[in-house]
Amino acid sequence: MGIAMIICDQIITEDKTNKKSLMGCFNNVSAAQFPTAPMNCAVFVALTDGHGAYQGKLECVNEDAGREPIFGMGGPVVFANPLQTIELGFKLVNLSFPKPGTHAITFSCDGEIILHRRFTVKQIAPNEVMP
Amino acid sequence: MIAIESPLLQFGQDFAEVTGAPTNKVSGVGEEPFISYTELMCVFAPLVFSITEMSDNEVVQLAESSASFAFLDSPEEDIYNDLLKSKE
Repeated sequence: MGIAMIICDQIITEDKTNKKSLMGCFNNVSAAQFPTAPMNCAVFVALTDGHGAYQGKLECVNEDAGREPIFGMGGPVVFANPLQTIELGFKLVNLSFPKPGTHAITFSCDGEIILHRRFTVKQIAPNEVMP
Repeated sequence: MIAIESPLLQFGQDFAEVTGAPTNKVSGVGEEPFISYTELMCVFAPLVFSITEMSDNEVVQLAESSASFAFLDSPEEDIYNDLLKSKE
């Protein structure tokens, strides 16, 4: 049912064609101090082969800190038919991470995790160049 | 495309309450492959955090290095140099 979950800097929609471009896909976040300075990013989720309505939920937790919740939100995801692809673009503004560690973003439908993505938030020296 | 700004979306909040629900996009479509796209903007409360001030030397050093185009002169960083060499 889950096709893709991409973490990126931003999602751009082309006006005429409605095509989506995912800019600056990443798996790591580096910061010199914690909590990190507020950052903007986006999570692109694509789903298909669904039957009817589900309760969708996007969650982010820090797995190295006892699954400490970073953010989470939910809402109905309704498929007209299984051939439909539902794309969701979550634009996250002022996102901050309290601690370093391996983080996971999951998208679940009716409590069942269908997309799961890990990324690392690591501490770097103040003068170190961020990758 | 639905783009609705939420003032503060906290952990566990229902995104359908503050944004356009995907159901808005799926009515009246027949049995054929199609894509619906919903954009959800989540604005978190900005954190207040302290910043460690850099020393004058560090500021000068960073300013100098950021404004430097010295890397353009270093051959190993210049792919065009390699192209030119290969043509020679």
